[in-house]
Amino acid sequence: MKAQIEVRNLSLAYRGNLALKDIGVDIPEKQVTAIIGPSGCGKSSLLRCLNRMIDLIPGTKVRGKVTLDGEDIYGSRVDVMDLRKRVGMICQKPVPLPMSIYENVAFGPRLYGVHGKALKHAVERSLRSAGLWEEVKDRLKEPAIRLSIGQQQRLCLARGLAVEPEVLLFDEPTSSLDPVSARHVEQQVAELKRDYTVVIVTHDLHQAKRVADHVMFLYLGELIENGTTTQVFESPQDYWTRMYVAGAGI
Amino acid sequence: MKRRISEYIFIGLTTAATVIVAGCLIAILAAVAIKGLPALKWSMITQSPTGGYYLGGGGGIANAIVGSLYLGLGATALALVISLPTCLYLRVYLKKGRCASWIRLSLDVLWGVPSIVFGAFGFTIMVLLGLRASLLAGIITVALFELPIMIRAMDEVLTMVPSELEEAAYALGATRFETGARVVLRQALPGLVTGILLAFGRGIGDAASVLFTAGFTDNIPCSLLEPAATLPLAIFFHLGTPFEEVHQRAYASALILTILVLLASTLARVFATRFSKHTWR
Repeated sequence: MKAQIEVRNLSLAYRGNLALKDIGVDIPEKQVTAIIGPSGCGKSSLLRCLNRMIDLIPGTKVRGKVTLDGEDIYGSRVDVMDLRKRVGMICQKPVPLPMSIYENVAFGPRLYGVHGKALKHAVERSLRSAGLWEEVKDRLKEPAIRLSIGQQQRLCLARGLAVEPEVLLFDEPTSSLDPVSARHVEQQVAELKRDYTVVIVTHDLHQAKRVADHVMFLYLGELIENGTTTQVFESPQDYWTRMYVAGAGI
Repeated sequence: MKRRISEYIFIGLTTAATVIVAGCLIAILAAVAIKGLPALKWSMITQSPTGGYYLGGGGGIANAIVGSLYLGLGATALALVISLPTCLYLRVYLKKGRCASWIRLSLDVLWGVPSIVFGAFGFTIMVLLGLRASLLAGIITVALFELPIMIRAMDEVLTMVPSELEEAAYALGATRFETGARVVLRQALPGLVTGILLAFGRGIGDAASVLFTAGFTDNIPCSLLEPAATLPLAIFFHLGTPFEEVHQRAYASALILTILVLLASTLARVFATRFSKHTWR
């Protein structure tokens, strides 16, 4: 299986404190990889290292190498804006931009010079992929903040899809949603792997089992175990992984 | 019992303070309206002063109304052109660093400088540039006076824009400029309008900064290099005469100035409300 993202000896320091220690992992193409672990173990930090959103946090220092299709994303010639277009991100809390539903999805393509009919098609295609088109097709001009929280999260997904990324990063995308909306978003994530490489950070072990093909278990900034979902959940090799997947507090 | 008494005292004090503030506003508006309305005639708004106007003769203050509008709008537009990039630079690039703190501190100090000092500074610039008392000199001076007010008011609003919004734009590959201009400003738009309005109100109502710089004339200025009359100075000159009838015209002028500011405020609110339907609250 081809790895689209390769992480090698990745360490992250935040104001001198190590948040990630020597992480090495391959993230396979067009599969769902879940990052699990207790709070504060560095899951979100690792995710943010994959599209350099970590650069936005002052005082952070990254060491090591992360390659996307063989190219080092921390290389000096990398265009960070282009990288973020290729590696999209959907955050924990849905954040609609202060504009209409249509404008929200059109925001990204417009940055890259898409206008007119092509833009309309991009908006419709993205809203369909995010499973939101049928619910909003007659109210595209309405403010995005009027959508329910679950719809807002799918709108954020549509907005991320509209720039045609290759990889999608989800940072606990269902943690602020009600169970029905959460299941809806989860279904979309599972479907997206046909076209995208997906990395999802989740607190919910059941969710990881349901949607992921591969699982990485992080603890105190270290990658403890990494393998297929069946391996990690049914025959974990490490003591801490066994404790965590068994639901024992660690 | 003791706690209940302290609660009553607290409610009493806060209510009294609020009533005093609201009462002052109503008293000012009532005084201006009661004293100014009888003297307010159509000719006062449509005509410029004729000979002997300040001695009780005919004419009006159209020169000062138009002059004030030119000056207020011109200065606010000039201040906005400088304020907006400054605010964005503070919010998007400098954020909360030491440099940003110094800039904010100096702006706060500037805000506290009396307007007459800006007037004197404007006069110095006028002399240096070889300008006479003119609309242009007035606009530059009032813009300088409005700058710290506008920047700090806008900066406060921009600081409240949630950082998640910025992150959402960055995550799509937007640059800082695109994020600032298309997302941060849009979210803050209603508040920005309030900031602009605050500065406009202060600018159009200030007499000291235009005393030496814009001058005063009975004519409506036709170019930026001609002197311009302003409402605050018109009020000042009206009150400087010993005639009761002219005094009443001062109140009528004050009423016109108040109406202008209220009108601008209402228009700005309508505009801001139209855009705020998209913003987070």
